[in-house]
Amino acid sequence: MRIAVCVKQVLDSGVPLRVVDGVVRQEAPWPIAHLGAADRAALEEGLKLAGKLAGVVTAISAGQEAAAAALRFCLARGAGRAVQVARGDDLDPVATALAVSDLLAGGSFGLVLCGGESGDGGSGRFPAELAARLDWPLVTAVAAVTLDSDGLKLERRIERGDREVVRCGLPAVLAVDPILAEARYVSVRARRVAANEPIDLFRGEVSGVDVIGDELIALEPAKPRPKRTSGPAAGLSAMDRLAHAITGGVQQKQSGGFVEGPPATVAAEILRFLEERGFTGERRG
Amino acid sequence: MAEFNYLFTPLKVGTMTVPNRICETTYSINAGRADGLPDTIFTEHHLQKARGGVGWIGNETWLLPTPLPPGYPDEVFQGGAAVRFAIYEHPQFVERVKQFTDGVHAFGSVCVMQLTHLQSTQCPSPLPIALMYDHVPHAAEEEDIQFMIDAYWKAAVKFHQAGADAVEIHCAHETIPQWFFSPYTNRRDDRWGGSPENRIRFVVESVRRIRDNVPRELNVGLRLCADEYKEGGYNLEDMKEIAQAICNAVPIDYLSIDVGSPWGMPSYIQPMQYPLAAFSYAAAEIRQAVNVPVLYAGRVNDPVLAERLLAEGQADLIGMTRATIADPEFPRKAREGRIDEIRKCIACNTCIGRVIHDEVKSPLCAVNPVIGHELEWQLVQPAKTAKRVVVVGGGPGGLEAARVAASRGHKVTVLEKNGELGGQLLLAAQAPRREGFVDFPRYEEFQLRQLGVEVRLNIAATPEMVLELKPDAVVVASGSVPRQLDVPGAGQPNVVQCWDVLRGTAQVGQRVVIVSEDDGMETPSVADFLAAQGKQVEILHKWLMIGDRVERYTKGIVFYWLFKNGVTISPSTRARAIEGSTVVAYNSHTSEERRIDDVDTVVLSLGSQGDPWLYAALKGKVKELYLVGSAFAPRRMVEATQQGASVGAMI
Repeated sequence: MRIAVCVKQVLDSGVPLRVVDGVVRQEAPWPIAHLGAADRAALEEGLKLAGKLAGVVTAISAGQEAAAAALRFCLARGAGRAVQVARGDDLDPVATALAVSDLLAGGSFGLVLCGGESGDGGSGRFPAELAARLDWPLVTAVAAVTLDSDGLKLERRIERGDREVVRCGLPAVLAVDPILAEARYVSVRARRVAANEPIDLFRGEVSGVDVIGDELIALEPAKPRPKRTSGPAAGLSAMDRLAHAITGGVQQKQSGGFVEGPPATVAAEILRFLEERGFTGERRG
Repeated sequence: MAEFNYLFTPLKVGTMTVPNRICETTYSINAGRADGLPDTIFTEHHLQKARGGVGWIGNETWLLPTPLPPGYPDEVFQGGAAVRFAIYEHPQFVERVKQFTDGVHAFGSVCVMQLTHLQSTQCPSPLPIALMYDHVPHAAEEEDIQFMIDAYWKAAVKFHQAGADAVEIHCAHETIPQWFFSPYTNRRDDRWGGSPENRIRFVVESVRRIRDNVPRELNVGLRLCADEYKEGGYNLEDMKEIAQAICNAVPIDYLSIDVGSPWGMPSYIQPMQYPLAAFSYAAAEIRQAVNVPVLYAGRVNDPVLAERLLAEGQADLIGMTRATIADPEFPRKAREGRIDEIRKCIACNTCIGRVIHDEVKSPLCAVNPVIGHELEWQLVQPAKTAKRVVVVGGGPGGLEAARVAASRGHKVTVLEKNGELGGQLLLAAQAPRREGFVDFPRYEEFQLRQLGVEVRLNIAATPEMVLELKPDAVVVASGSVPRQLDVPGAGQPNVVQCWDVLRGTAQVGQRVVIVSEDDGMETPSVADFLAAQGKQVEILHKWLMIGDRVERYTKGIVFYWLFKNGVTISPSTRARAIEGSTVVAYNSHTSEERRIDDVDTVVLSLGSQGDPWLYAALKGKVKELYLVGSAFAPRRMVEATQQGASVGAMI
C-alpha cells in the first residue's frame, strides 16, 4: 500500500531568528529541518505501517526551500519518495490541501497521515480540507493505530484524557496527535545520504479556483480562568476581612527585642520563642 | 513595550459589543447641571473620554423619582454627590439624551445609564442607614416600594428610546436595593425582607418589569457592592449567592462589582492610601459564581494593571473612571504604546471631594486642569509670538505653567532649587501610602522633555540670575515655608517642623506631641509617618477634629491607620507654651489648661505661608510677571496646578 505522509516545515524555536526585509528567518548556516511534533508522529507511524505492510512512504511537503529541508528529514528516516508541492511562502491550508489532493488523486494511495496541527499556524484545517477534497473519511486526534485483519483500529484522544476507539476503512486521512509516536533517531550518515536523494517537484495548479476559504478578521484571546486570589476568609470579622484586603494579609510586624542575661536564661528564652511559633515539637509542660 | 492582549479586545455584553475593556463607570461629579437634562458641559466632559477611546461611557448617575413630592428636603441621601434627577417625563428628555448617546456612539463606544434610588426617607426599615449619619428613615410601605420599582422600567423605556445601550440598576453605595439586600438594614418580616429570596425580591421585580416593558435589545446590568465589611451586613459569600440567585431569576447582562460606602471604610472611591485594585479578588469570586461578564472598579489607574486583571481572569471589564478623568486620552495612548505620556490618576479624590464638600458642584482634577473647564480650554490657542519664559520652581504649579506655556509654543526654562522636580509633592509622598504623588512629577518631567523645555536642577534662583536669561515672562512658583508657632518655648531644640520630620532631617523622640492647625492632610500624614515607626503620638488640634478639609471618601482610611497605630487626637486643643519637655495646652473653647509632661519632641503642623520674595524683587523688572501656587497662597495641589496651567495659557 502506498502511504502518504504530509509534513510542514516550521520555525525551530531553538534557533535564533532575525528579520530580513520584513521576513522572519532563522539564523543558521545550513537549511534546518524542523517539523512540528504532530508531523513527526505522523511520519513515524507512516514508516511503521509501511514496514508492516511492505509498503512505501511518500513524504509530501508544500513550499520552497523549507519544504525541501522537511522532505530530507523524512528521507533520512526512511521515506521512499519525496514530493515537493511547489507553492509560494503563503501556505494557506485550503490552497495547499487543494494542490496536495491533485497530487494524491493521481496516485494509488491508500492512507494519508498528517499532523493534526502544524507546529506554527496550528489551525488544524489542512487534514479536514484534504479529506473533503479527496472525499475520504477523516479521523482526527489519532493517538494509537492498530492494524488487524479488519483494517485500522484507531484510538482518538478526547476530552479529560478519555480515549475513543474507532474503526476506519481505507482509503482514509488520519490527523494524528503528537503522542502517537516519537520520531526515530537517524545517523549522520543517513542524513548525508538523504541530502543527495532526488526530490520530485509537483506544480500544484490552483489558479482560477477560489481558495480563500476564510479570512482572519479578529484574533481573540481565550477567556481567562480566574487566577487563584488571596482574598480574606469569609469567617473573619468585617474589620479583619478589610485589614486583609488593604494590607495584602500581612499582619503588623511585631517588634523584635534583645535577649539578655546568663546563657541559660537566653537559651530558655530562645526556646520559648521557637516553641510559641511552632518551630519545635510539642510545648513542654 | 507593554502588550495588551485583552484590554483592547472587544467584548460582547448582552446585545452590545463593547469595543474595549476600559470603562467609565458611572459617577457623580456633576459635570454640568441642567435639571436632569444633559447640557454642554455634561456632554463635553463625557464625550472627550469616548473620543479618547474609552469603550464604555457610564456618564453620571440618574436619580429616579421618589414617592415624596419633588424637592422634599430629604429626597436625596444626605451628603450624596448625585443631584441629577432623570426627569424622563419631560417632553425634551428623550431628544436631549439621544443627542448625547448619538455622540457616544459616533466614537464607537457604548452608553450605559445608571438608575439610582438614593433617598434616605423611605427605606426598608426604620433604623440609621449609614454609620456616619443619625438619619432614621420611614419604613417604606407597599405602595412606596411599588412606586420605586415602577420608576426603573419607566426610566428604562425612555432611555431605550434615547438610544442607551444598557441601563444599570445601582445596588451598591448605600442605595435602596442594597438596603434591601443587607440583613443589617432590612429587618422586614413581609415579602420584601427576612429570607435571602425576599431580600432580593426588590431587584428581581425591578428587572422583571424592565424586561416586560422594554425590548430585549436594551441590556440590563447591576452594580453590586461585593462585601459590606460591616458587622451584621452581608459578606462576599452572601453576595455570591445573591448575584447567582438574581441571575437565575431574571436575565441579567452584566455585573459591575466594587466595594465600599460613601462614608469611607472602605471607600468605593478608594484614595491613594489603598493598594491598587485591592478588592479585585471579590470580583474574581463573583465572576466564578455567575455566567455573565463582570466589571471590576476600584483604584485601577494604569493600563498595564488593567491588562493583568483581565489576563488573570479577575474581571472581563475594568472600571477606570478617575483614570480617564486624569487623562481622557489614555486608552488611545495605551493602544499606541505611548505609556509614558499617560497622565496617571494619583487618587487624591479632588474630583469627588470638590463635589461633596464645595458649594460649587462642578468637577476639578488635581492633575488635569481641563476637567470642569472643557469648553474654556477649547479656546486656548497657540501663542502668536514665541516668548522666552522662565519658571522658577518645579512644584506642581510651576510644572503646569511650564508645560502649558511650552505646548503653546513658548521657549521655557525651569529653574528648580532641588535635585529633582516635584516640590512639596515629594515631601507629601514621604508619608505612608502617599507615594502616589510622585506619578505627577514623573509625567511632567516626560512632558517637559518632549516639549523641549530646559530644566535646570539644583539652581537657587536669584533676581539677577533670572534677568540674565532675558525673559519676556517670568512665573514665580517658588513655593511656601512652614508657619512658625508663636508661643514661648517654640524655639527650643525639641520643637521641629513636620516638613523636616518627613524629610528625615529632624530627630524625633519616642513620645511626640503634634501641634496642629492644619485642616488638610499635613497633620494626619506626619502623625501616620511617626506612628508607623512605633512612636507614641498625640495630636493637639486647634478645633473640633483634624482633617476637616479631607474629603469623606479619604477620611475612613486616614483615621483607620491613625487609630490602628494608637494615635491620640485631642480636639479643640492649642499650645500655650512649651517648657522643656512639657507642653502647656489649653482648650480652644474654655481656655482650661492641661500640662502634657515627658514629651520628647514637639512637631509643628501649622500649614505654610507663601514665599514671594523673588516675585517682589522682580516686580517692575520684567514685562510679564506671575506668582502661582503656594508662593501666592498655600492651598491644595489642585489650586497650584489649576493656577499654573491658567498662567501657562495666558502668557
